[in-house]
Amino acid sequence: MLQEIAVRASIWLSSLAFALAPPATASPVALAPPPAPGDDDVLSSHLLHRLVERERSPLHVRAGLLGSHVPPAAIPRPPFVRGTGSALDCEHATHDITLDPTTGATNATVELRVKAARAPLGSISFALDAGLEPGTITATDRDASIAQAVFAPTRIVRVDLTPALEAGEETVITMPYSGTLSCASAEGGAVVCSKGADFSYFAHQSIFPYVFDTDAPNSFVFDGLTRDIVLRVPAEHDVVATGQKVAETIEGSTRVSRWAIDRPLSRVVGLYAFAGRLGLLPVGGRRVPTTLVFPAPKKAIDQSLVAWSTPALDFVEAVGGSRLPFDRGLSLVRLPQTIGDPGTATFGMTLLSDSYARTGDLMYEETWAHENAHLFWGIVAPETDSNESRLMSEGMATLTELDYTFGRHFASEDRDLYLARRLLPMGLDLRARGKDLPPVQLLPGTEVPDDFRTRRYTLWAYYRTAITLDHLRVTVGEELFARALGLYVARCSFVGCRPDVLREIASAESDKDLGPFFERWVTGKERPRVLVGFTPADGGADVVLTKDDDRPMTLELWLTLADGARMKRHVDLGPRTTRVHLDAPAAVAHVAASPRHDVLVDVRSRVDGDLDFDGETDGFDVLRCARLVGRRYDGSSSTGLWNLGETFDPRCDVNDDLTIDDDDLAAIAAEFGKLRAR
Amino acid sequence: MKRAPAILLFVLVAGCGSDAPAPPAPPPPADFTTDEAPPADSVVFLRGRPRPARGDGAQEGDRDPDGDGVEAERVTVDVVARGVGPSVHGAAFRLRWEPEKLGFVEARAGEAWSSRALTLAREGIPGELVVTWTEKGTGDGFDATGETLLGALTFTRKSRDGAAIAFRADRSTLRDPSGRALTVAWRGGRVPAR
Repeated sequence: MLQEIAVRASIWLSSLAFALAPPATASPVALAPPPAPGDDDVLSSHLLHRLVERERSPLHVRAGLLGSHVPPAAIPRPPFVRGTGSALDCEHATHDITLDPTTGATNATVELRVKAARAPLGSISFALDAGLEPGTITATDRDASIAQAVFAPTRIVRVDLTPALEAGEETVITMPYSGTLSCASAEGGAVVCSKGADFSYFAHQSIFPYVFDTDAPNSFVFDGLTRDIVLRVPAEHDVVATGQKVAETIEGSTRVSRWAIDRPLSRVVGLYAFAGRLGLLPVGGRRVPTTLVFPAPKKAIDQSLVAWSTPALDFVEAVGGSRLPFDRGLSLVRLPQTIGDPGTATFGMTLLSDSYARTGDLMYEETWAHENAHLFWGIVAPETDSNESRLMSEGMATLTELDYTFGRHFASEDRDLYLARRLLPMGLDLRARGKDLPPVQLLPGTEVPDDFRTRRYTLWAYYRTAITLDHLRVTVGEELFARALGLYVARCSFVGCRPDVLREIASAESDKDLGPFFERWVTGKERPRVLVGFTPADGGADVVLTKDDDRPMTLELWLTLADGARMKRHVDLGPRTTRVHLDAPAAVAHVAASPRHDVLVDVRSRVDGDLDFDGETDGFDVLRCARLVGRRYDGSSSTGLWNLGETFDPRCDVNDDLTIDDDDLAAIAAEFGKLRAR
Repeated sequence: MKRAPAILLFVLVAGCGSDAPAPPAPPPPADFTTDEAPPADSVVFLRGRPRPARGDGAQEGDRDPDGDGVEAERVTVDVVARGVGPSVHGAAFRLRWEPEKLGFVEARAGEAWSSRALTLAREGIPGELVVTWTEKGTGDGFDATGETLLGALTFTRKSRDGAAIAFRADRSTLRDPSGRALTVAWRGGRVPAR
């Protein structure tokens, strides 16, 4: 069977000279990475390798299969490398689908209005379940010729338009398709649909064709597509689909439901339908009808998900600065682990695999918050090109989950120290495996590392982005950052924005040019060293800050007074050396930067060996590290986000080899006894 | 006045009349008095060691190395912990004194520490000593519930004046194996005038 498919694919590829890239990057809204492998074998294989890899592949075509038949030179590079985007602009799709969820029998039509954006468009492609075959495809005002091939379990249908659409022109392509869904497993065991009478699942590329630019299959440029969906299923089936539910009627033995995605969405954002005897639980305390959907019978975790939903949704709305604009309803879906979909968020719908229950309630709840945060960060406020950056999707969702967990479970702790503790292992993972990753925002000409499509994607899309956002938050201040997010959502809702918009808003709000910040940490990936020194002085401290360049930077400094009280001061660093007097009501014992800067700024005392920033090297510095001798940070799994209690102290790792050993301690000991003159 | 207990002890021992052989002569009194302080359950304090008698290891030249007529006697004080708890993993402290009156000679860690322990001592600036004695890596540490010798410090007198040796409590700490600070009082003392 595999051989047959391979032969068919080979013939098709050679005859049409149509080369699809292997899956390149993640869909715009993806799940947070799972916990440490090794702790749980199932998680290790199920989540890290299979699910995340699948999640990262909007186009579920086997990379291995394609790779064996497509010369490497023919594999198109992602658009950000080529410097051009897709010409495909999908405007509106109308889906009419008659489905027997039990057997998979399907009879459907999609009408797609497309426009050529910026450049001619001669071809588009659809990906759908291999068991469904297209009928006669038409396009208004032009000829449509088709070619197709099967990359099990996906069928690719290519539609060539003659004449090609010129820039600005549009046409409506109508594709009828029918057959019986195969719902076969893709490489790694994941599926895009699951037939059955009890809980059936139909994702993008099963009954809903996934549309892509034949010439730029991995382009994720936001196009702003609206949809109307009609689903006809046997009347005995419950049904829930992506979108706002417009109507539901029983027509004879058929349940007819109508769903609308009435706000512009990226064409690559997932579409889902669920049918069968669905478990449905109302989520109380929300203005908009909100329902948890799950495979019956109800489990204890369903009640937990219901309990977590209201605080999670309230929290993400508070972060987003406005209510979620899904006025007719919101569906929250617990996906069973068996279908192998980790989850995502889409229009008015959040989905999460119950695989994550294995991580424990705290992290399951946090991941639930992450996914729900994507309702804003990726759905309401999409990125212009999710290949360019995940700063305002994964970065914001990850930052939101950290904040949410603090508020729910760690509110009695020092928030700065909590955040620094959460960011620490993420930063260590970046140090261990991500030093050569591209910056947060990829620029034209950026070369993506060959092994980018691995865990390193997690480091880039989730960790570096969240760390950068928190660094920005500390830099500009909490209130201003929160205000900027609200303004970002207001400006970018269903439009698509680039990271530059956040810079513009934050700059305007702070009345400070944040261009240098973005140059260093968004389009660049610096970790500048800043030396901090101080002299206690009457009424405060005289502080000296030194860095190696002339570009401005702002740090939040912490002044710890003799009585232990902490005062925060934002200090703008000018060229090279900055001297500033900071007032304080009592003697100043320590002057350090907020530890939330640490991952992205190498802040050190001017006195070597002074780890606690009191300007001297004494036993406190040595004791901090002595008990850690023998500690090694294993960053191979890149699962720092799931690490709530990392105790590795990078300041003790003097030689930066991720191991704290006698050599490091000796280096600190060599500086021992450096005291400030009385 | 502060030597009274030692003198009393001498009298009592000498007064034990019996046929038993005479006990060895008691050591001379220590050249150090520990500060009086409110009683504390957990404390680290300095305690003077008895002054070596002439001929008891002391060299004549040691007593006046500067030839200025002032005997540069050595003063050794023990650093003692008491009531601290069952698991001490590290100690860090600072001491201050008037450098024109005392000179720092050496610091030795006590036998409570393992052979792997890191021992550091340095007079960072004149009259301020920084000391760290700590185990490395994981380990249970040692029990300092009872009186436990953490180490000893030796100074030389530079003058006939009395000299205080004081802990800087804000920069002194004992830690357990988890890095948690153990609550203790720090009590220095005084080398009396001659």
